[in-house]
Amino acid sequence: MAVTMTLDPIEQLNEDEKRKYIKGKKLGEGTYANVYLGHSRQDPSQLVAIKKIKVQQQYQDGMAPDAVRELKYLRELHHPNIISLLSVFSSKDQNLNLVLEYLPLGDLEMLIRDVDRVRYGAGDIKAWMGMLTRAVWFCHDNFVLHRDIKPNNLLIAADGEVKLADFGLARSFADPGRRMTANVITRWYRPPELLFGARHYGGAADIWSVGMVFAELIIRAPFLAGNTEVEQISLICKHIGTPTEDNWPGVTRLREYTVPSEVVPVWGKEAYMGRFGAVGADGVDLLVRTVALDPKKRITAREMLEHRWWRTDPKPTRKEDLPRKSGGGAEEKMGADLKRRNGILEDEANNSNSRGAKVARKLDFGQGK
Amino acid sequence: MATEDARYRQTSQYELWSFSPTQLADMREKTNAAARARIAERLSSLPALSNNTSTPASSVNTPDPDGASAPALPEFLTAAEEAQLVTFFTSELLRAGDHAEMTDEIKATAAAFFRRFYVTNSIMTYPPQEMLIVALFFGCKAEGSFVSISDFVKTFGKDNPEEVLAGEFLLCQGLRFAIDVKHPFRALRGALMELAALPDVDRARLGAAETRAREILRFSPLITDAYFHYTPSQIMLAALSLADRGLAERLITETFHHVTPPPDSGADTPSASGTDAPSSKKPTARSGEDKAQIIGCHLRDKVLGTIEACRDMLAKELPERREHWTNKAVIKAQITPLRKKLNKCRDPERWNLVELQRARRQQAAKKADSEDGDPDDRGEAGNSLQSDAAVFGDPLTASARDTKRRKVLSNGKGLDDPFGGPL
Amino acid sequence: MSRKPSSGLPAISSEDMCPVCKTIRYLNKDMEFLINPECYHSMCSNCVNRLFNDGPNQCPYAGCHRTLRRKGFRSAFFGDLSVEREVDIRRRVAAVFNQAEDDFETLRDYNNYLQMVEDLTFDLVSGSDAARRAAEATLQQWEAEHRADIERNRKAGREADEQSRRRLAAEREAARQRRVEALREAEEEKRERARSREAELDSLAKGEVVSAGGPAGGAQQRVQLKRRGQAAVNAAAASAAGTGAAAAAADVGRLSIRGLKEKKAPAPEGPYDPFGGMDFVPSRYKLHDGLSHPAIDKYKADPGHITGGYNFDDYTARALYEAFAGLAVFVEDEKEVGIGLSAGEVATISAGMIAVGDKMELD
Repeated sequence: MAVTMTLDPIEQLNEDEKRKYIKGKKLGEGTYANVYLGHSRQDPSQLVAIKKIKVQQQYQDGMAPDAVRELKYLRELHHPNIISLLSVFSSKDQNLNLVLEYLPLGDLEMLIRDVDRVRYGAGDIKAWMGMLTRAVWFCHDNFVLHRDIKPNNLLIAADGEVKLADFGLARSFADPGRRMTANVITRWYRPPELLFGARHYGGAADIWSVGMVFAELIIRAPFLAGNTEVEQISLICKHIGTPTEDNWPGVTRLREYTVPSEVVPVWGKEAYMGRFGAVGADGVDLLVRTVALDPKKRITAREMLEHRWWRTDPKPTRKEDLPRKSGGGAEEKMGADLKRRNGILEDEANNSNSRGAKVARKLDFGQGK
Repeated sequence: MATEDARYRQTSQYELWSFSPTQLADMREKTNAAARARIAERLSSLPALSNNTSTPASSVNTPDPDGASAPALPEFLTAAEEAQLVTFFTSELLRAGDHAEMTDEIKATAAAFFRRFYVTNSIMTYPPQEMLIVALFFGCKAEGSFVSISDFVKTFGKDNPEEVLAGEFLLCQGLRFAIDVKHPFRALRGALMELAALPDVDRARLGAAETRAREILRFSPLITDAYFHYTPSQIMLAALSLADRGLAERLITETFHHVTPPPDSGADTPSASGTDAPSSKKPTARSGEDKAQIIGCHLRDKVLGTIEACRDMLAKELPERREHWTNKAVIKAQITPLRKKLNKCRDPERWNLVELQRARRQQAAKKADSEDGDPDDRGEAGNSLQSDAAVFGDPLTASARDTKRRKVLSNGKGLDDPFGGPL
Repeated sequence: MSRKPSSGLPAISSEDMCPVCKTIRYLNKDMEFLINPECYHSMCSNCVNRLFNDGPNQCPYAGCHRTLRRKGFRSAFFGDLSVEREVDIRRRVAAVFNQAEDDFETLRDYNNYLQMVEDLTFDLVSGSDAARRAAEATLQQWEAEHRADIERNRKAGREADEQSRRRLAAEREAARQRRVEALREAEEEKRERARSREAELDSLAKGEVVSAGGPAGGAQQRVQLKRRGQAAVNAAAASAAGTGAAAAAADVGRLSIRGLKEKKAPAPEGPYDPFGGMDFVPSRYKLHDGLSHPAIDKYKADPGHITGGYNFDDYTARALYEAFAGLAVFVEDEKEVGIGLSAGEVATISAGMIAVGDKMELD
């Protein structure tokens, strides 16, 4: 005999939540999760990204740590420079679905690496750094360590705003006495204290990563790109300076302390001016403070925001005017461009042909007088 | 409004899991009623109870002397009885956590999870003994401690990783995916720090108060509904008040005397009555910071009143009551009968978590039009689809569902008690 | 369009004699004529050097009393100097009035804008003296007022040019590829045909039957289809590029250009707030160095904590925050009133039983 099926109230709530969004095409696939484009049922113009966390074959112990962390921290952190978690629901097959805001313009890494087609200047770097710093500051102000800051995790919204994403390695600040793992943060962006195996650290670890991103924005290539931990340490020693008891008391007693035998003294600001001078003396000053070897001496996120660099010229570019990735978006833009732009005459420096050609075009009034 | 409060209001704990007592009671009532109705349906539709044509609605809670096997339905738990059992099992949960030597935060988070889960789910639907282990397991994860499931179950001398895993997602869903629980432990430290900075406080007194307050916090708020009705700050002060009333009151008075105006304007702070201009003469006492604003008395009193109410709630379940909840005589008299009753009115379909999860996964896999085309997903077939209905699944016919359901149940596991006799 | 010819300046490109020094080309084979946009009087480069190298001087043409400088002289692009003059004027105007079609709401607005610009230009080129001066003044004024906009438009224009240049280059490249591809395919075809003919002959020799056309025909067809397909793809791409952008126009009244799209002018920014308005400042407590707790202090001396950069102030800040966060949040009141969990949600949760028909039994 047919029986009416019913849902538990909590299942109903989940169902209601799920119904709010309509899932569309797959945007990306990974071992950890699949991401789909979607939109709000009520307002189809509100686009979302639905991240469906896959059941992990390798991880046999239920919900994966990344999923738990993302869920926990994204839900509590609300900030314009941190990716928004709009909703959570479970799918029929008991998989977790995170509904995130849709960030269509790729990530900062794409912009940095596309050297040929994307140009940006000091004002742009300042704008991006401002957004990143605010995101990190907000995390720390809420006592959360991100522990995976890198250009790849800085996504760009349609209006140009940069948002920190991927909280899969995040955790709350530890209470004194509680040990944390040192095996976090992607190697190129990992601070020396973690490379040396410190089990008690703080926001300074994230700040180091921010400094690495800063450097990468300027030179448009990863600043310290080691293939192994040992190599990473030696790169730090070479380009920043060797950590010693003089510049970092206690460092030699960290569990995994090991440095190349040739001791390089810590470089002063002047040494960075050559390579990073594009952001000005103030910018370099800020950069140098983020890569202080001793985490106690490293600048904090709050102090970063209070640094004078943000107030000197050039001003941070407005987000609408920030450079965008070439490719997809550029196509539509180009289409529009071909239609307009017949009034501008180039400076005399240009060849006379184009100058003449444009003028001739302008003279041709079909309707006109 | 105070900046601290504004921030607290943004937490999921406040948004999703804070209620007024009336609301909470209401929800429990409704959950109970819903569960009864549904279980009645399911029980009466089982093949074992064949020619039973009595409609589910009418037979709710009809007392039946014979019990489950007769065509009539069993006696269901009332909401009050459910609450009693939940409290008992919360105590069991804390004991298990103590036994496993978990941290205060993990135990507290697990207890909060457990209580939250049974607000919107009935204890008749999902087995509390299993769920408390699941809550402990998931509590570890939520607090950043990721243990392997096999190690975990070994701690409890058990051997059922599958069961725990089966309940994990269910628990997460029951929590509405809000897994960040804010506790009063660190707040207690903060309070002590503030008090210690006052000029004329006895250190020994502080130490004693902290010890007692902490002990209270480890038990009383978790066993009661305090987390639903009060903020961690209030709970902490209530516990401190129970430990040493004078200190708690001192702290509150200090706080509401010394309120620095927020940087933008002094108008925000609820200092309705007579505020001193921020630029007034420097006070002679202390450190020369501006103790400019004096909060209207009514706010301070309201805070005091709230803390007093919380204090009363906690006072009903002081740590000494741990003994009560493990007392064999008490258990035999109050808890065992309820558990017997529970055994008879369990939800036949949901009680076995492992089977439930398996069935759900199977069903999801069998659906021709699945949500996405991931061959990677366990058991999922199908390709990506655009249309709404297709994405979220067309309604299957009822009969198809029934057949599947009956297959699950006819395993025989549904009805029998897979957990052996009552404890 | 009819217009009286302007100042009747002589064309010089065929002129072999400099009107100033009367030198003829026979004497100076590479004689080059320069003009100065002040008065568009042309003379040979020798004269220019002779007359103006030592500083500004009067134009040598009879009746023209303008003071000219060496710097201003350049070679004319057009033979007809009146055209040259007009072109210069147009260039100047276009540098100032450089709005694009996109910037206007409707096509009519844009056309009106163009009309206004053209009127202005006409006045400058061939208006009476009074009209010319007025137009000149208008131009200056406009430029002064809209410097920022002009700059922006110019930048955008440059970008657009770059885009289109790149686009063209890409297309040219694609075309080249196609040609290469086509050549290759033609080669392939030929070879195929040759091969199949061989095969046919072989099989005939062996006595098998071979369908006419066979593989060669198939290959040919495939190539045709491919080419046609490619052509279709290109056509699609080209037309996609040509889809109209938002048309626009300006309703031109005087100097005000109506119908311009709302350019969000940057709101007058207040003092720069590094925290973007999201800073948290404690209101119930103050953080200072005197805050400590024995249980914490014992770790302050632990080298593991110190060296790793563990921050004890963070812990203190957190402890204090948690001690006071939510102190005056009255859950019962606020939830009853409806802040937080919406009434709807409460109802849904409480409602419990929802018969959803045959949907989702085991969901």
